[in-house]
Amino acid sequence: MNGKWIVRFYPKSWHKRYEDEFLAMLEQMPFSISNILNIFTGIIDAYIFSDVTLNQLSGIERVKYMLGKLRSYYGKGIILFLLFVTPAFLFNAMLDDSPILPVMCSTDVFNLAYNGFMIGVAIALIAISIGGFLVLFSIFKWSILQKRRDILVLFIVPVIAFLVIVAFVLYINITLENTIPGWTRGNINQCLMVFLLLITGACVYQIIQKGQLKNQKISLFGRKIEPYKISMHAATVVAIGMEISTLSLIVWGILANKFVSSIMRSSNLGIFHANTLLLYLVATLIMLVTSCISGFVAKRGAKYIAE
Amino acid sequence: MSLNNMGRFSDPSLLILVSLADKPKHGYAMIEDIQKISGIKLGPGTLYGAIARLEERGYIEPLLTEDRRKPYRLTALGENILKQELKSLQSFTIQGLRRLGVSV
Repeated sequence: MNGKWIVRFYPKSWHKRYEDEFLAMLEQMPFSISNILNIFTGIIDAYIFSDVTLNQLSGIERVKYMLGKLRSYYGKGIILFLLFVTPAFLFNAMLDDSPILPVMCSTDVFNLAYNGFMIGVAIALIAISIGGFLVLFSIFKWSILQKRRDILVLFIVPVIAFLVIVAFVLYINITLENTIPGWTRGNINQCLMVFLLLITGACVYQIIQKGQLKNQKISLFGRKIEPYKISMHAATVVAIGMEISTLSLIVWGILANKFVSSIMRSSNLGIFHANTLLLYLVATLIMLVTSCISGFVAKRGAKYIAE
Repeated sequence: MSLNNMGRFSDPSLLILVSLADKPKHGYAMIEDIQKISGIKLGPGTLYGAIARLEERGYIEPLLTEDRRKPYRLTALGENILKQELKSLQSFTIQGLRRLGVSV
């Protein structure tokens, strides 16, 4: 069987290491659908679980390669987290002052599902802040030593963005309190929060891409720690938080469907529910996909830490 | 150290280690040998998924050859792991047979 076309779907590192011998083996095998399907499962496995480049490296090269991989996982993790947290914030903004809120507050199980969603997001936010801080602190020290101004500027941008946004939020909520309705102000606040997260995420991603992670301990509050290790464990906690949040949101949706008649009774905006349903479905789908991928990314990262 | 942490690849890995126990073999020879000794036909994707894991853990290693079909052999570590796994299976089999009232 000629398997050249199918082998192309394997990851690059796999090609380099096994392509020749794998093709030679396939040439001896008869063509069969079950073999094709089996190769496809092998391809998925190669992307998710194995990194054959490690088999070909040793010593310092191996450590360098693993740290490079970890850096790439941090970058992927940040993008996934942003993709996750943006619909989560938008969903939360949608609930603000909505007719769902009174029904939710008066029903324990419905409220519990919403709290689960919020707790999951909070766990993920705290974990990514701790993990991100350690990695960024390590890169910050390296950037100062290497005099990398391009990276140091990226550290300042989120701080300036934060100060500008805080000033703007205070202006809207204090000075314009009587001019803009509360519901609109609430939505503006949530959108600004998402905007700040996006700016911060983009800067952090660039810092991780441009900076270098060293296999060294850093001194923090008088204790020696290995930042890349703690950050990867934090990534696992982030993934767990995302999964808790997504599962709670799914349960929330099922309950919202159950209490739909009570929700409709407390609302006079029929069309509002169509928008709500669409936003809920899109947010849940994005959060489900990102939390699943984050789980895999954290698992792969943990594997490098174990090495 | 054991094959238990290999998830769904622990059974194919054991079959590969047993197949390489007598002499080095390349991929297709392993598939044929495993089918002969166990009746199980490993698919190419499964075989190379297990080979990558066994190589990564240092249980098997490729032999240098000009042939495109690269043969693999057991390492000393792989041999020890295989012995451990087979002994554990043997004890498990004996327990099972005793419970069934079969004399061993």
